[in-house]
Formats: sequence, C-alpha cells, structure tokens
Amino acid sequence: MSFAFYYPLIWLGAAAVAAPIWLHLRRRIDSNVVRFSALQFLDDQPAVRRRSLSPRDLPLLLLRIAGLLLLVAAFAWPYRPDVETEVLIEESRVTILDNTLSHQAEGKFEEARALLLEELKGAGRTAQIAVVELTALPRVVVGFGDRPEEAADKVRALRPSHQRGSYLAAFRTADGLLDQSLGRKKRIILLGDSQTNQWNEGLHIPPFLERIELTLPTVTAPGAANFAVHEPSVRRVFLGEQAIVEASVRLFHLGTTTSPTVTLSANGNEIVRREVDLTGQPEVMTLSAQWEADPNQWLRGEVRVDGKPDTLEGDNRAFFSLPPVREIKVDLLARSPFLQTALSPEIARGRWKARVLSLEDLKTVENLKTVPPDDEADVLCIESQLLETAPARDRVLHCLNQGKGVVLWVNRITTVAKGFLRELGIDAQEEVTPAAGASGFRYIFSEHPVFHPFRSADSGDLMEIRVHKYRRLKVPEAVPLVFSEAGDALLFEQPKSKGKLLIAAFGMNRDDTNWPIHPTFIPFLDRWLHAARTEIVMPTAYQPGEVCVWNVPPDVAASEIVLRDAEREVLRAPLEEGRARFTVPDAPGLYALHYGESTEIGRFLEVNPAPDESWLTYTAPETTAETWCRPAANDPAASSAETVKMDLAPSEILRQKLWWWLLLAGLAALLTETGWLALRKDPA
Amino acid sequence: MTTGDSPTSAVFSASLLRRFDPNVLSALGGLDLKARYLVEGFLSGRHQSPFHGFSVEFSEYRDYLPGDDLRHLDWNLYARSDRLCIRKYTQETNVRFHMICDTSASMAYRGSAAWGTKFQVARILAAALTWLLLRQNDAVGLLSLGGGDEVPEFIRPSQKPSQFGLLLRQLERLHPAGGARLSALLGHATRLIHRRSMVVFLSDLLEPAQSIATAFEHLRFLGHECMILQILDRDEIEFPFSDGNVFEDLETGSRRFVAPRAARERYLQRFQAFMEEQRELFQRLEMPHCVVRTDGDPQQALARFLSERKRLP
Repeated sequence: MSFAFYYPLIWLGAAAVAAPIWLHLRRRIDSNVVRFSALQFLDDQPAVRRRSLSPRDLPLLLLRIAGLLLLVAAFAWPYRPDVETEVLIEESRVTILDNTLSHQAEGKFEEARALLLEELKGAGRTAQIAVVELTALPRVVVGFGDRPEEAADKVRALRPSHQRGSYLAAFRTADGLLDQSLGRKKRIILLGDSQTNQWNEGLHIPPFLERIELTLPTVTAPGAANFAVHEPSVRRVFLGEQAIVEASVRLFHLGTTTSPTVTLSANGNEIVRREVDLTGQPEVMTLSAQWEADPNQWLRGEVRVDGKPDTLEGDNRAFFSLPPVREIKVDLLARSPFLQTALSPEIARGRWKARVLSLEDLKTVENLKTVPPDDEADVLCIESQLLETAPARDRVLHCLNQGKGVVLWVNRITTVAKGFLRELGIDAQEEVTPAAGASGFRYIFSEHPVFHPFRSADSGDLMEIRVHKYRRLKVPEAVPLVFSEAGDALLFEQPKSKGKLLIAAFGMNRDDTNWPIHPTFIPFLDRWLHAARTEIVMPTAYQPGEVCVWNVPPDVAASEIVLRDAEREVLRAPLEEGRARFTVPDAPGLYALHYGESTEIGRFLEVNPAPDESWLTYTAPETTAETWCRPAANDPAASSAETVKMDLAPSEILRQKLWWWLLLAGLAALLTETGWLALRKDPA
Repeated sequence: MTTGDSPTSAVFSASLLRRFDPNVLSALGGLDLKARYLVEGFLSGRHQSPFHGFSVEFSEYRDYLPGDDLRHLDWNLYARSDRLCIRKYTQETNVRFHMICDTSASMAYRGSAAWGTKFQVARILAAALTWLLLRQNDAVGLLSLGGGDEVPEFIRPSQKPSQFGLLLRQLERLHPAGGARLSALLGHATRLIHRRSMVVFLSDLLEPAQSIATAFEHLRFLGHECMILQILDRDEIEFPFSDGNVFEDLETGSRRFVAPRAARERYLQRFQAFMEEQRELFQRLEMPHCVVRTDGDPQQALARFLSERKRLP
C-alpha cells in the first residue's frame, strides 16, 4: 500500500495515534487542580514548578498505543498488498452485443447472447470484461467493476430490440471504456451480424482506436431473404363531397422472388389484401391504395406483409395514423389569382378554410377589424400592394399582436408600404430584375420544416423555380430561408413578439415567378402557410428507442404526458417548460399520446423499425474496421503491465483469519487498559 | 408611578415573585427576563413605590408672579376663583448612571454553592439596575473591557427605551477573561465620564487596594457619586476546601500547592484584612459599599442601591 501525505486517511490515522498520547499527557496535567480566584491570599503557599510534559504511566501509554495500533492494523489488513489480494490484469475486453433489429434474423441475437454468457463464465481473474449493448443509443450494460454473477444476470436480462444502432457509436463507447481500463492488452469483440449498411455508415471516419485488438464476426453468407414494409404515408384527399384516404407504403424484398401477401387494414377493417408478384420487380417498390374514410375520425391502421422465406419478422408490419380533419382558417388579402385558386375550397378543402377577399371586399376592409375572436383566421396572407389601405396595415399588426401568422408577398413597394414595412423591421429597397432574365434558387435552407417534403424528388424540384423579378429586402431580425443566384434573400421567417411573419420578396404571379405553374406550388403554399402558424406541429413517426422531445401546445394545462398502447399505459414523462423528453418504446406500433389524465387523444405516435434494418446483406468488416485503428506507435508488449488491487468483498475480508486475531487483540488491549485504570482509581 | 401594570408582571405569577429563587433565575433564558424577574420580584415585596417623587407630577399651586411662564397658569382655577395661580411640578431628576462591569478572569469563578459565576451575578444586577433606572427616566450607560483586550467599550448614558436592549446586547457579549483590569477600567472611567454622574461598580475588587484607591479617589475628586457592588463567592469568603490540592490562579495561571486545612486560618485572616482595608477606603471616599454573595439574594443589593438613589437629587 502506498502512502502520500496529501492522502486524507494518513492524517486521520496520525490523529488516531496521537490522540491517546495527548490525552494521557493532558489528564496528568489537569488532574486535582482547583482554579481559584483569590489565590493572592495564598501566596505564602509553595508554588508549583512547571515541568516539561513527559509521559508518566509509561506501561499504560504503551498499552493504549498498542491497542490502537492493533485495531488500525486489523482494519487495514484486508487492503495490504500481497499475493492473495493482487492480480495482474492481462486483458481488458469490451464486447459489443448487437441488439438491433437485423440481428434478430435467424435467432442470431440469442446465439450471441449465449456466447457472451459463456465468455463471462470462462473469464479468469486476469481479464476485465465490459459489455456494450448496441441499440439506438449504445449503453454500457456491464462495467469492468461488475462481479461475474451480476454481469451474467444483466446479460441474461437483455431482450431482442427493434432498434437501429450505429457500429461506430458502439465502438466509440467501447474505446472510451478501454481508455479507463487496466489491462495490458485491450480488445473489442463485436457480436453482431456485420450488416453492410452499418459498416458503410462508418466509412471515411478518421482512425480513433489505438493499440486495441478487434475481434469481428465472420460472414458466412452474403445475405438473407427478407420481406418488409416501410415508410407508410397517408393523407386525406377530397374529391367533391368524397373524403378519401390515400395511402402508400414501400414494400421491400430481398433474396426472394416469391409472391408475398400484403394486407392493409384501418380502424379494425381490412381494406385490401393482395398478393404481390415480385418477379422482375426492384427490391423496393411503392404500393398505393385509396379508400373512403370519415374525415372527422382518427384513422389508425397498419400494413402487413407475409411471405416465405422471411428471416426477419420484426419488420413485416408498418403502422400509420391520421388525425381528424380540422380546417385552418386563412384570410387572403391578395389579388393573385394563383393564390386565390390554390386556397379555394375545391383545392384546399380539408386543410385550409380560406376567406378570399375580392377587390370589392377590400373596399370595405374596415369590417375586418371587428371580426369576432372565434371567427378570426389563424393566418393572414397579404400582398404588399394592399398595405396602401390603413385597415389592411392595422390588420397585419393586429394579427401579429394576437399571436397569429402573417404571410406577406412583397409584390410592389409604394411609399406607404415601404414605411409600414420599416415599422415591421423590413427595409425594402429597389426592385431587382436578374441579368439573365430569371434567377433560380442558389441556396435553400432545407432543414426548415417548410422544405422537408422537397428533399425527395416525389414532391418536385425546387431548383426548377425561376424568379423574374423580386424586391431586395433587408430584414436584420429574420432568418433567410432561400437565396437567389445573386445572393439576395428571397424568403424570410421573422418571429415577432407573439405572431410569426413570413416574407417573400416576390409576388405569386407570372410577372414575378414561374412558381404558380410549378408542381411544387400547392405543396409549398401549404407548408408555407403552416409554417406561419404559431402552433407547434410535431412529427409523429419515430423509430424504436429514439429519443423524442415533445413540445406541448401552450393551451394544454398538464404536468405530464402519458403514452398508451392498445392495452395499457406504456410510459409517463413530466413536462418541463412545455416539453417532455422520453424514449420511444421499443416495440413497433401505434401509441396514443395523452396530456395528463385526459382521455382525449392528443396524437398517435407511429413507431416503425428503421428501413435500413431490413437490408440483411452482410459484408466482411475488416476493411472498415481497420480504417478505424491507428497504427501502433510502439510495441504494446513494451508497455508496463499494471498491477491492480482487486476490490475485496466483505466475505473475502472476513475469511482472513489474521484480521480477526488482530481485531480481537486490539480490543483486548483496550479492555485491559480500562480495567487497569479502574483498579488504580478504586484500589478497594 | 405604579409597578403592577407593566406587561412583564403578567409573565410571572404572584408566587413566583414572592421571593428570590436562584433555580427560577437560572431556568429563565436571556438576560432581559432575568433582570425583569429580579426587579419585579423585588418591587412586588415593597408596599410603597420606590419611585415616589421622582416622576413628573403635580405638586402645589402658588400665586402668579410677573415673569412666570404662562403655560403653567391654571386657567380653570382662574375661571372659577378669579385667582391667577401657577401649577408647580416635581421635575425629573435626570441623573446619569454609569454601570462599570469588571470582566477580569477572576469574575469567572463559581463556587459549589453559588447559583452563578460572579460575572453572571454582576451581569444580571447590571441589567436589573438598568431596567429599574430607565423606568424612572434616568439615563444609563455602560463601560467595560470586552473580549480580553484593553480597549474600553463605552455606551453613553441615555434615557431612550432602546437603551435597555443596547445595554443588554453589550452585557451578553461580555465574558470574563484576562488578568487584573479593574485599575485600567477605572482609568478609562475617569477619562470617559465627564459630567457629574453616578457610577456603579460591579466587581469582586480582588486587586490590591492601593492600586485601585488612587483611581477611586480621582473619580471622587471629579465629583462623581460612586457605589460599589462587590460580588464575592462563598468559597472566597469562607474558604471551605478540605482536600490537599493544587490551586491555580484564574487570572495569572500561577499554581500553588495548598493544604486547605492548614492554610484556611491564614487565608481568612488575610481576606478579612483585605476586606477591612476596602471598607475603610470606601468609607473614606464616601462610597456606598455593598457585598453581594453569589449564593445569596441579589435583591438586597437592589434595596441598598435604591436607598442610596434616594439620597441623590
């Protein structure tokens, strides 16, 4: 055992040894002394000469010290370094147990778990073992300090999950653990299926593993047959009086050309069941269906695929939901026929309830100031040329102050409009006509929710939009979302104190842009108006084990959110500052989200496995894994082995006989001292 | 002025106030309560208010003389009898009192029969006298040496009701420490007390008489009225020790081997001589001198004090 003077225990020990000596000397001094106030009348009495302090009852003092030393020795004995209590840690080992959905194929997870249990059982005292479970967030299941029995119990308790995890994240976690380990040799063992797309995620990563050996799984087959359904998508369409649900789902198949059966059911009814002939079909194909559904009811459904051979069943179902239709009110103060048409009931039904105001209406626009609160629109869509009228300007301010959204199309700048825009924090400058006659978009803030649908080509390509004319705007407080080729911002988002202001530097007419005749127009307008609303629209599609931060609408008075599946309550998460943070359940399915104890369903969360987990193609991992390893700077064998004292369990301490003898001897010495003192004080 | 209407009197029951009980005094928390207990108990045993004649009250009429203050003219009497009379009052005395509390280490002594240390007795007496004096509109101040240093802590006399709390806080902060310091304290008193005042000493006076005599003479020369409350323990007066022991001086720390039985007679002789010397000194200087025993009733000291107070204008 090493001592250091800055180690607090040594000072405690020193104090324990010094205390009896000090008490011994003090007691000798203070005994039989009367402190008196009138000693001046006794100054003829002999004075006491002060002597230097010296031990008096030497045997008593020695006995006290011996007793204490024995007690200290007894308590310190179990920690004395010797052959019994020291071991040499030869190897530190971290096993990554792949617990992603793909590893469930052909019972591989159970095999890996059994293998790990064997390894834990067979590990000697010279090896440290930790276990990292690879899930959405890799977690340390067994630490280096855990006892073998506890470690085995923890591993045995692991259940197959439906999550998607990253090999890279798991290796980084393992590396972090090995940094703190004591073994001379460090090793990471991967018990996984070596899925190709998981390794591909880690390509081009700079090396981060140093002097660590890797034991990777061997790949026996390049892939396995699998059917899956992914990414269900549903929306309501109104055709005249008909309310139709349009659903689409991606059918995935790998390594087989048989004909699986796809079943679509909604609200407990089977909508369609069909065999799909996969001969000559690509691995991913989109299936669509339409059916009539009550727009005022929640729609809950699932798509299921059944076929043989299928090595992974966990990805055979995909769940979807749709809330009842609630039309959002929008006031349209615009002369653009494209905006008026796009928001007409024929097109916007089920999504937007527009109050399109004609030129005649604008003449009596004062009436808008007296709209009852219940009838107020959520969004005001206005063109800048109409800001000439005072009621229109008042309306804009009113909406922003009431927490509503305003969508402003700057199609013309007049002096009055310019002044008003300045009041809103917008510096409207000159009109710009691109040199080439039209300008495309140079940059689009694609992370913004407005542009999410346009990331895939299905919703159209925004880069095809051309702007012929726009107004140069400087809005210091706004976030620019789209820039022209000349670098001028064209779309802005400006959060105001309560409401939200979205600004476009051009009008939606043919003179300014070709957007109104582009396929992206209606979807964009829909998203643009939604973005103007201050209501928080949360995504509802999640993957198992994903961490979700749920923003609760401000009008909800609840202290927690409750998640329930069809049968029982799954979790509760407290609300903090209007947000709840929770981990999405591991099992795929539909989960009803309630605010507090309310029985009303707030939303349905659709939990579906990650599509990547269905790709059961495997690859030899060496190439990728080797790029993660740094070349060894020196010989690992040259590094000194670290001698480590093992933590002793109480049972092991109590097994040491000498410890008991020391303890008894110490107590006996102190008992003798007490008896001796008692005899001396009371000779009788 | 009466004493029975004060709020504190309700705190103590009649039986409690009947006579001094050291156990009751010890059980009371806070110097404030202890002081009031002592004073209330003392006053309840008297049939006549000790404050008669001190307060502002009507005395007699006399005829108006040109130049008299018209504010004191009794207009009612003039209306009834057509006589111009002036109301006469007994005015406030407004005497300034200075409590001087000895905080030398010897004051920390508490004998086996005492109900408190000498310092505790001194502190309670000082608090009780302060309260008593403030009730009759006298100004009270305090001088002491606190915390073992030689820096005097001086509270100027005042009649304000808040003065009682101020003095109590100061008294509670004091603790006996250090060597003989009475002569130093007297030196500070002659320097700090300028106007003619009444000075009350609370000390055991266990210092050589010649060393303090000069300071007392100086005080007297300055015109101050002085009263000495000498606080002693039974052990100091009777020396009741029996076993052979080592005696250590509380102030100097010096030690002596003492065989009490053999030394007792000599001790008592020397102590009596010391006390006689003190008595002569205070008699010569016309300073009332009262011995307060820590095992006795401190109310006697209060009675003695009040009789001396009456002597003052």
